[in-house]
Amino acid sequence: MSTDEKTTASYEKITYRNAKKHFYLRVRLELQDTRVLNAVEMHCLVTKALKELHGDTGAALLCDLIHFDSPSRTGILRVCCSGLVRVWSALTMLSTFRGQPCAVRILQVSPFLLSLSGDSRSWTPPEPTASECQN
Amino acid sequence: MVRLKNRYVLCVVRGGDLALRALSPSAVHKTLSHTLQAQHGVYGQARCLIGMTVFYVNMKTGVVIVRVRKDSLSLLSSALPFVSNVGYPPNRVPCHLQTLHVGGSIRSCQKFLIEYHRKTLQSQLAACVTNEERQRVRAAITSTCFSIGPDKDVDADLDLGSD
Repeated sequence: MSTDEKTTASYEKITYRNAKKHFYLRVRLELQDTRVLNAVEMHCLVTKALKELHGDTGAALLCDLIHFDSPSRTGILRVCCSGLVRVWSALTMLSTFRGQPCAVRILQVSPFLLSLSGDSRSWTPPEPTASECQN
Repeated sequence: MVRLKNRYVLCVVRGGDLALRALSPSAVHKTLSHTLQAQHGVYGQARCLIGMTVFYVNMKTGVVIVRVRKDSLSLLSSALPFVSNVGYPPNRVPCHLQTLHVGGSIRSCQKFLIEYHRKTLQSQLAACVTNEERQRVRAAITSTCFSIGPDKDVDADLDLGSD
């Protein structure tokens, strides 16, 4: 057995396409006023956006708001794999909420919920201590 | 070289004489547009309306031929069962659309339509009570058959003489 065959046998890359049933989206709603939103209103907003852009078939998509943080207006949506593009486009095209201009920012998209636990963009490294600065 | 492919959807409006009177190409187009927006939203409506034309409307038989782009056929065919009325708002008439045939050319739709009327002619004639009604049905069916060859006699094919 040659050296090349050994290396190819020791390394194998397996790719699963559409192996996951759901996708998770971390979204943030941007509004001008400072009123407090709850999860029900946020879910209604997502359903309204879907119905506006994709009609009844879009509103019938499986889309769950599994977590919502009211102060930061950030939530995690779980959508079925086939409806990801439609949900994403509907949220992007959403522009009004109760007559006021609004916007939905898609912060993270991943098929793994654990991936949404950390975000390198919002991560702030800890301040180095005095001993570390001396070293 | 890019070739745009179309599909021709052949449907029949079911809803009685009132629905047939309200039929017009613009009324059918508006009804389809409303139904598409309700079912598939603004995106689906805009995508399907590109290249969509109500090609043929027959007020006597209720036959409607709609031309759509090939990639928008699924949007239209899924929205057609949800059509519940036709016409403009003051004179909306409840009806529904029955899809009979989807063809790649007008010729195939016309050929299917001729066969369809040949099959349904006997039942329509059987429903007629007076001789005048029978004559009207016969004239309507004959006018709907677009082009029959000169050597072909419709009445002979359909065996209408004995009725």
